[in-house]
Amino acid sequence: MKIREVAIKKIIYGSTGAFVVLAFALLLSFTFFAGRILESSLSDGADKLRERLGADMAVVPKGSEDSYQGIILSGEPVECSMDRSIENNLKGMDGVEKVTPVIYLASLNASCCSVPIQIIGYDPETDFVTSPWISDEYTTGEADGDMVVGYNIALDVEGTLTFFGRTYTVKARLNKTGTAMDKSVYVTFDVMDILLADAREKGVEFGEGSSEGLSDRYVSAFLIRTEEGADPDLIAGRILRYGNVGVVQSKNMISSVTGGIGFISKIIRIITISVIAIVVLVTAILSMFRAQTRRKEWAVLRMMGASQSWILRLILTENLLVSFAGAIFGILLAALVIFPFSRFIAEQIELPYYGPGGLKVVLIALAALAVTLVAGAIPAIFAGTKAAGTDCYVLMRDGEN
Amino acid sequence: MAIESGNLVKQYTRRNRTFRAVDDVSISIPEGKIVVVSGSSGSGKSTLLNILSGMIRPDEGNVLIEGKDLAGLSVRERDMLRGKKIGIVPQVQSLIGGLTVRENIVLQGTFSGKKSESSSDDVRIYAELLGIEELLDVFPNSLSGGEMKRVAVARAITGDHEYIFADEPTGELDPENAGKIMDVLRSQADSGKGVLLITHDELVESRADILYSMAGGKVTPVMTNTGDVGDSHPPLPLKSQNDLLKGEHL
Repeated sequence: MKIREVAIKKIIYGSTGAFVVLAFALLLSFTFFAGRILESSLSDGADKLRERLGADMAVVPKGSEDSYQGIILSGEPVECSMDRSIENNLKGMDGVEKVTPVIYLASLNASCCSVPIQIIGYDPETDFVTSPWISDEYTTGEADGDMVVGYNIALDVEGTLTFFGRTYTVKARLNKTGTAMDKSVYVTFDVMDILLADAREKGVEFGEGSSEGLSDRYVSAFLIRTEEGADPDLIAGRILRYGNVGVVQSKNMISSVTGGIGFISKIIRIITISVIAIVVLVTAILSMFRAQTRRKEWAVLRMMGASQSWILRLILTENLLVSFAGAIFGILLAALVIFPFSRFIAEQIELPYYGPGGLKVVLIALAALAVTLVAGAIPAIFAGTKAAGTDCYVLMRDGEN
Repeated sequence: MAIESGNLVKQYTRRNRTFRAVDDVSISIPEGKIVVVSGSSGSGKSTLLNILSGMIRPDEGNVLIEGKDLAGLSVRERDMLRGKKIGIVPQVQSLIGGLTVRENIVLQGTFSGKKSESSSDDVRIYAELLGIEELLDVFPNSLSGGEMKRVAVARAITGDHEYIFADEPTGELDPENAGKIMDVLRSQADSGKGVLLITHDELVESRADILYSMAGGKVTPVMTNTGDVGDSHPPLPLKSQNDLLKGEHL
């Protein structure tokens, strides 16, 4: 009989307490896999946010700084407006490379709208933030206007969206970012003007005066890209002198996000390391106990001619097989928990969350498997060495006792 | 060829008192013979079996298995030699839990180097001879003590070793099954294997080719029907042997 055959039989029929080792292996692989997936998703989410922001700072109406961050980080639908007249001043400012206006309009959670979300209007002539992210062209618009949707926006059956009583054709979908931007809808200013006019009829307040050509007079924010080497703090200071405006710098927003991610990552790591330590310790105690209670068995095997290394390999094989099974179950269980609920998790932690791709998932699963196997093998080697190294006759006497 | 030993000594210390479990013993296990060592509990019989099989080292003296001195072998070499040359039936229950009776028997082939196909045939043949053919697919925890003993005998002989050592092979057995075991062991000896039996069962003693008595760690030849042991001590009638074993030595 091969060692593997004997080990499998012992695990299944041998009453060796293998199920306890399996449970701890499952716990370890579950924690490691789930922890690494979460950590990786948050880290990648932060990277995507950094890339996706595209602008170094946003100029918003004074007092709307938090609302802007809410739009970017959690997709909280809000609207705000400011006079567009400072646009040329911003464009002419030293250190400013590009300026583009944007309009934020929250759709209503009512029968007039498909979904309550943030609608973002951009100026196709000056935009440097949204257009580069368009991944799939769907159709050229034949309805009232064209829309580009975030990765997570669900369309109506006809592939359209309805806002404020009007139906729009979706032209394209953006790449996944793992940020709140995946839950937004993007329109050009001409479409936004139609939306704003309809919205005002429904009671939404935006700008003043006629609803005709509102985007020419009012916007919600200006996104600014600074020239390389320019000091963003200096530019922000100059902008604030205009009064009635606020500045949100991307680096500050990113740093608050990465700070939150760092904190969560730290907790995940502490939990993972603690679980590894506990599992190694418990597995070590269990392995020693299991080896001790089976001393008579080792004696019989030695008597039959089994070498010390054969016994060591048997104990190691048993532990590795049990750890392997536990690791696979743990990884599958973690995958069942993490992947279907990733969006829920992202919403709960209110941080950018970008799930890893297939290759990365496989690598993390392999790492979880390796860590679990090592955690199972090290105690088995100690227990096996002790069991196999004890004199055969002493074992027989122990067995008789 | 035979297993030869000379001037074996094994000492133990118990409660600060040192005593010799085996005291200057020289014994031979020739091929084709049943050698029986008989004696009361604590006489040192099992220690002698363990020394002769290489499971423990003697403090003095040596054991030669087909010319190889066990003292010169490493633990691994002794394990391998024992696995290949000697099938052992220990006194205590020795079946591996979690493996069926068949697997317990076949496992011996792993260490004796026999191919599984031939072991499989042997398993069936010896199981029938020992009356355990119905038990081959059950687990040891459902066997009686006597059934376990018969399985242990089947395991020892299926390995096709050159020597069979058995410690109380008929213990816990009724006369009929004890007789079956002795018949199988006799057939093993007749096929050229050396058989060493440790016992205090008269049935086993009566089947001996060479009978030794052991008391206080010392071995005394009682009888031989071969003329190889103690030419001055010809085989004795069984009744005389038993009288001797009760206290008198030759």
